[in-house]
Amino acid sequence: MRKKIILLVEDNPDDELLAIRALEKNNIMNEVVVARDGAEALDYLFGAGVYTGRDMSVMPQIILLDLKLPKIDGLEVLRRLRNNKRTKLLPVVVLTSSKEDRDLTECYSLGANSYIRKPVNFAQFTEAIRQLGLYWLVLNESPPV
Amino acid sequence: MEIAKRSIMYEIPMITKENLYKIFISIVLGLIGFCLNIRPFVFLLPPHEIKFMAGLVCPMIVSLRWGWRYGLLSAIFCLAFNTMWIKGGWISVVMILMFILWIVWHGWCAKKFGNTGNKKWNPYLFEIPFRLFNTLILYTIFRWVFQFNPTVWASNMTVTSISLNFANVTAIQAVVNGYLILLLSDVLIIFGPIRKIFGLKDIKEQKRSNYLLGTAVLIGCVFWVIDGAFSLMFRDFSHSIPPRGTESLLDSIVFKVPPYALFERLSFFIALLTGVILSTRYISRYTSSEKLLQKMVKLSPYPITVVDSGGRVESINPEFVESFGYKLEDIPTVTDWYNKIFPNIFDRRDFIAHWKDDMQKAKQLNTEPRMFNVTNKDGNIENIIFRQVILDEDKEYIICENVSERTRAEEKFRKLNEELEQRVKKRTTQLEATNRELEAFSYSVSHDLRAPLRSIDGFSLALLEEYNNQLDAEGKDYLNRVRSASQRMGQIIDDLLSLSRISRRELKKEKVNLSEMAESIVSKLEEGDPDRKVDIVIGHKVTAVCDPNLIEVVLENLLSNAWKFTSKQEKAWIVFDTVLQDDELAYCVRDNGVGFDMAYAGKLFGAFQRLHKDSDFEGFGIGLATVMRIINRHEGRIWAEGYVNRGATFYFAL
Repeated sequence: MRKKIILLVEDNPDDELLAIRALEKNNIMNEVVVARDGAEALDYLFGAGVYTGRDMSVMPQIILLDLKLPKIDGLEVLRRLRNNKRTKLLPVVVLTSSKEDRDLTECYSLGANSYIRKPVNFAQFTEAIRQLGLYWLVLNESPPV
Repeated sequence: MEIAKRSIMYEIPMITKENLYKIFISIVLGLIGFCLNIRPFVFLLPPHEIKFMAGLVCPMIVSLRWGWRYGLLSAIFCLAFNTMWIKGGWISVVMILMFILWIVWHGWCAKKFGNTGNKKWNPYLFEIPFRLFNTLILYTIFRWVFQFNPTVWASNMTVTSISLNFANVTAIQAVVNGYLILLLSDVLIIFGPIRKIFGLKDIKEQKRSNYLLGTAVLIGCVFWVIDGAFSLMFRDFSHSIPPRGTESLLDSIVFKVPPYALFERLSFFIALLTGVILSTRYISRYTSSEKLLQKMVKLSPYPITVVDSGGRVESINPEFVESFGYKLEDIPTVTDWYNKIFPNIFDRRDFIAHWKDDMQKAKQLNTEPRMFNVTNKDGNIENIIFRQVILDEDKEYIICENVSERTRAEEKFRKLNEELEQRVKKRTTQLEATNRELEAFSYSVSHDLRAPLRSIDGFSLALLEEYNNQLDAEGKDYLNRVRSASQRMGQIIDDLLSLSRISRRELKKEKVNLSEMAESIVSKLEEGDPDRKVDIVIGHKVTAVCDPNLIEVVLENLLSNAWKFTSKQEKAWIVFDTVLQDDELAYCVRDNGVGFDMAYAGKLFGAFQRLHKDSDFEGFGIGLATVMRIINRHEGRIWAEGYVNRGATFYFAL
């Protein structure tokens, strides 16, 4: 069975920690690759920069993408993902603080698979992560590589 | 160049079609007068006779209407061939000259005083000085020149000198002639056909006047002949009057009036004519309308110039002096005036060219006003609108309107408007920039302000979960407080964001069924709190034209407020319906909840303003601020009524 990697793109270490904690609390033991900005996420996906030479047959099962990122923002990452043949079909869940109509519209039109707003209440956040993991890692059939 | 011609005409009469017509008519009327004078009426006053020469009325009318020049022409044709007078030798020459002078005098007076109208012109009054002068001549020159009569001329004159008696009779004869002729000319000028000949407009009820006058003259003639016939019959019975003798029948019946009939006929004749004049009210109407016109010209707020057919400026009104600075003596003719107000020859030419076009239209009283730049006496340029009005042939009213102030004001207004537009543009750009900034701000608020809150809440929970054993009850309580505070803050941020989003959102209006909307909101409220029993009344078919998404926020807020504030009531009720308030349709949400003190009504709609303690009713005080903003965006109005513990009513009108 292939490894079901989760790619977490998050610049805020607190949020990163909380997200990982939420995953752990929900017993989602998949490998989590953390990219701290948009450029790093793209490097990982395209095997460039520090990730040069990585096994490109392994692609994340799900990408959790924050929108507000240093260097290259989440929307740009999403755009480049969708423009690349290899990553075009990867499931992307936007996980962000914003509830602006503008962001929602843009994300969906760029081909995001889901849009989740991080609640302040951690209990709620944990619940969201739980459902997310259940859905995307267990129920959902990923596209063929 | 019509204008130039008109002004020169005063000095050298031009042969125009109009002038030729006037000359022709003058001559024809003169000749008619001559024919009438061949057989004068004679009032017998034995041993004297008073002759009445009715034919003189023809040159007199011409003179009164068209001035002394045409009068003179007509008079010459009327009198020069009068053989009856030639027979008298030098005295006839004097008499003819006196009659000609008389006609010229009235013509001159009529032109001089008749049209300007400051003085009241009355031909009967002007007759007096002339008659005095005439009498003087009769008693001096007339008697004196008689001795120079060559015998050939006065072959049939039996007397060799003129007695005082004869002079007396001649003087009386002249007075009778003078006044009767003036009276006749006054009457005849009312007559329609005669008015046509002189190019005058019809008077009021011209037809009626024609009939009246015709009938009067006819009755007069019939009466005259009948009276003559009777007097002829009675002559034979009277001893004081010589019998008929050699007179022709025509003479005895029509032309020669016996002494006993003299007074009767004359007074009848005069009474008849006076009656005609009065009944047509010609004189009074003429003078009163003339007076009114002059008054209007004088009081007019517009500068007006009155110009006669010769191009001579007859009068100007005070406003004219005020506006242009020129006095009447500065501009004796229109040409002088044009030269002054248009110092530039090209402007003048342009003006005169337009003027010529308008001349014809002016006669039909439909000239279009034209604006010209005119130089006034101080050398300032003024914008003047000119209009021409020609009321009768010999007078032209030039009505000016000084629109400089208006033009300046318009210019100023235009400039101000432009400035304003510029300013609005600038402001709009600024506002757009501010809006963009605000958007960026709220965007970053929603991101950056919430992130730390998540950490606070998340790690507090982590502490509670991971270090549960090491924390005592108090520590746990503190952490719980930290959590609830951060969650509250997250909620406030969300509310604020939605408030700002409402302001930025585009308004899409359509017809919305508010009743249905309220029903669904209420059913949600009931689902969320199934234990409560609230009587809810929703008006039937309440509709509004508004943005459905935004108005839903309004109803949600108002209804959930009502729901919230009736929670402590035993028998709670909420009503949503429409009411008429001051002729305005208002929507209202009414409840019997805790209400509020009207003294604080002003604070209701401000953001973060709360009238109740947190412990009593939860909330952040943003709901009504949002509602207010939505109503404002609909250009509507919202207000509230409430009493402590007796419920509240929120009204809004769109």
